[in-house]
Amino acid sequence: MLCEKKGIVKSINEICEELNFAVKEVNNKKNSIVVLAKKECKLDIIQEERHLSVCRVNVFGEKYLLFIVHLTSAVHKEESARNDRLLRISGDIENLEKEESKELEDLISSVVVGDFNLHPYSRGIIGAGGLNATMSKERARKGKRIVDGEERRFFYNTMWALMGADKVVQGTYYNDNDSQDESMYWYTWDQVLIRAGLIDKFPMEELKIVENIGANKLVITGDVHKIDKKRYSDHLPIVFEIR
Amino acid sequence: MKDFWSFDRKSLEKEISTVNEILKEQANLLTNKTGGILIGRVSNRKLERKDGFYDIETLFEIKVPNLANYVCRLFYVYSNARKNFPVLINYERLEDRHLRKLEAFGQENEAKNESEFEKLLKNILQSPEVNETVKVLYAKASQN
Repeated sequence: MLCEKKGIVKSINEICEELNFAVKEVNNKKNSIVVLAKKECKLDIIQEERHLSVCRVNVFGEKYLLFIVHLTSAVHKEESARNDRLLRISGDIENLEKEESKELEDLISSVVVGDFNLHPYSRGIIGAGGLNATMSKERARKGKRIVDGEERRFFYNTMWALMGADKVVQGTYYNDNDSQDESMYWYTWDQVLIRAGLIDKFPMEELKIVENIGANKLVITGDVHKIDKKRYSDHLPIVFEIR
Repeated sequence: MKDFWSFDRKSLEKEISTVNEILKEQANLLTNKTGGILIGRVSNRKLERKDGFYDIETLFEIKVPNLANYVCRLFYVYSNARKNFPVLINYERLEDRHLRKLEAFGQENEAKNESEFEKLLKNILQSPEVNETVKVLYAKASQN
């Protein structure tokens, strides 16, 4: 990850020094995920896998888990394989939540964020066997549902609120050559999922797909709007807050 | 009451899974050899699959209490709940399609008996990659 400032290319470490951030990692060799946090932030890396990093965050006396995913792209794996991967990861998430909740009264809350390379309505995300992430905040507030005799905790998928909005940007990734001839154009591969316990701490007005960074426009506007992937990235960043 | 079962508790305890026993031995050795700075951990999970032979996924992990309980997953073992062998041992988590079509995936990681399993396990535990991971985690944990 590099950024350009007045023609000077900077590295992650240089940017971190300027902004008083630190690269958080323990033994991050297999991973495509880099975690940066303010130096004073109480964030511990507790697991690093190829497609998943897990952090324990302690802010204002509250603990929660942050799962950061970067799943394989459609170029390398078909959709069913990508969904299968997420079914396994959802098991990891639940097990870690139980482990981290041993000294707590309730199950710890989690955020799952990252590039899923899957639609919000894909089996791995919305399915009960996967992340069980619903678009319905009211359903998600109930915390869980019973499926085939098993309790399945809900996630609330915050990105449904932004998908397909009548704006310049309607997702986080743009493609006008869909291999299935589907007229999607804008894909919401990058998502933020939260447990019920975080819904009231997640101001939806602060959830944004970033189009501009200062004077730099990440989207080319015209007859059709596209992401400027030549100058920046093929994905748009997302920002959100947890208060 | 008539008992039609052909086993008792003692006979069951003699049949503890060979693979799990071997893995737990090595996990305990890691803990002992590092003075508890690194803790070896073995856990089993059911695979949610309706077809195929392998239905249990066993994780071999290193837990590091001094690094905020960081967990490093070293490798996976795939087995059938009803049989001791064959088993598959692999660095990466296997996709369902690999487990379904073993012959497409390759059989170099498959152990048909205890001796083959021990050989594969030894290769993994003595590999440069695992050794480096152990050294890095031990060094970082010792500094804390």
